[in-house]
Amino acid sequence: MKKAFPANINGTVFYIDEDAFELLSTYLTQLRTAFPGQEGLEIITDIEARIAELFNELMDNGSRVITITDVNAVIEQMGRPADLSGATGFADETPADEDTRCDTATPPPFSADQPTRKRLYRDERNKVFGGVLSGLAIYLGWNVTVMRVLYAVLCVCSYFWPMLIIYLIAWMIIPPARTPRQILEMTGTPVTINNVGQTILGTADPNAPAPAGNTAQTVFSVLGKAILAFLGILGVGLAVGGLVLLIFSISGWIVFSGWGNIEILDALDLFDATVHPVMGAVGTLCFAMALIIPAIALIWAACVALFKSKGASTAFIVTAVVLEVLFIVGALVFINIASIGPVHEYHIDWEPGLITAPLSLLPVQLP
Amino acid sequence: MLEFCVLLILRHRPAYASEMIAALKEARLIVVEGTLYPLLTRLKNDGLLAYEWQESTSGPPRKYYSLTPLGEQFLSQLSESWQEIAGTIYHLQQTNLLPLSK
Repeated sequence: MKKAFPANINGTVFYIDEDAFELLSTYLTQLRTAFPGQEGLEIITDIEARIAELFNELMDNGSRVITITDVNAVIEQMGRPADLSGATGFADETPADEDTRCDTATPPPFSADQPTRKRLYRDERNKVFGGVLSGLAIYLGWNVTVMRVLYAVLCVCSYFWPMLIIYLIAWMIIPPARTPRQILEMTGTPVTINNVGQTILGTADPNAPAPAGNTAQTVFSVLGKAILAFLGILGVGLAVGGLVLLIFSISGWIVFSGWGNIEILDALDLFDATVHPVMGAVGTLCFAMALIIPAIALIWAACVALFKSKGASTAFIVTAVVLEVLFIVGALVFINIASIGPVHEYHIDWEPGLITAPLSLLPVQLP
Repeated sequence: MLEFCVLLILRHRPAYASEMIAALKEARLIVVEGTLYPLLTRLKNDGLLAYEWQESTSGPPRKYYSLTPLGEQFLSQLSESWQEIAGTIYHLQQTNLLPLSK
């Protein structure tokens, strides 16, 4: 199964596979390099029109989606950029004599080996969580295992949380290398038709990890999975704790007066529930939600890595993080209000002690 | 060479790129289509060709290329010199040097 989307080629809309689109746009980009300037633009428009025409014929013959095979056939028919500009002597700035124009031996005016700037991507082909470290390793030209061990050491040295948060943020903001073009950019391989084609076929990319990893990698992978399983269980624990809190706070909130749950909230020592039970209940609700979101994230992450479940979309992650921040702020504000006094004495106090207080109540002791 | 071929194809009536490709293929001149477009653009910029858009029965309008007067003039010049070259070659192919006389 492949992703396909509509693409406008010369005013006609075609449904085209993602990899086919990638190959085609690489082709057109290369043509642009081969045929510079205003004149080149006109040539490319003509070629695009012809490609659209060829695709149209395919559609007439009953195809529904343009595939990579179709694009390859079209490129074969139209010719590769190196052949084109060389064969027609387009690059010759001086108007050549008719007799000398047709020499096909002139080298193409652009180099296929232009240095390509590497870009930082997540390497999802070789990942434990989100491929952040493997992507970074490729970017820096390091060994992936070295990168992971270094990260693990840093994690231990920093008591886990800072590095974990940095990782999660990196996971969110660094795009994954999904398309052939992105994979080539990640490894710094020039994006040419040949390379793109080979990446699609899975034969290119010298940096690609061997399918059967070495022993160290296997051990590490097992270790990573063990850690993930532990985190998953931790997540389950967090989620259960959060749910319990949620039920208490909702019941307290609904009842409004706060009877029945005051003792429990009191027992939890979250705040002095007798001062303002409603605010306290709202605060607890926020706190519970703030617990549940990372819990779900942990469980999900563990599932993604262990059972190859589908990963969360960026939009989903961003929403979750925004909600998480809102809930944390809400929890702090409301618990603060509740512990200070009645509504008319609003005074939000951002003492650090209050921020750390809820964390000490996590149902599971964190490492 | 290819320029000559294209001009020859266009000498009777205007045509668009695919027709020219078909004609070239029929004449057993193997050519990737992409070669033709830069050529057409260059001939147009040199004033030998002109084009106009024509609606097609299927899909978007097509660019129909035709010879300009300058193009026709150039074509006849080309044809002349081609004839000369061909004549020379033919002549040389047909004739042998006289055997060495003692």
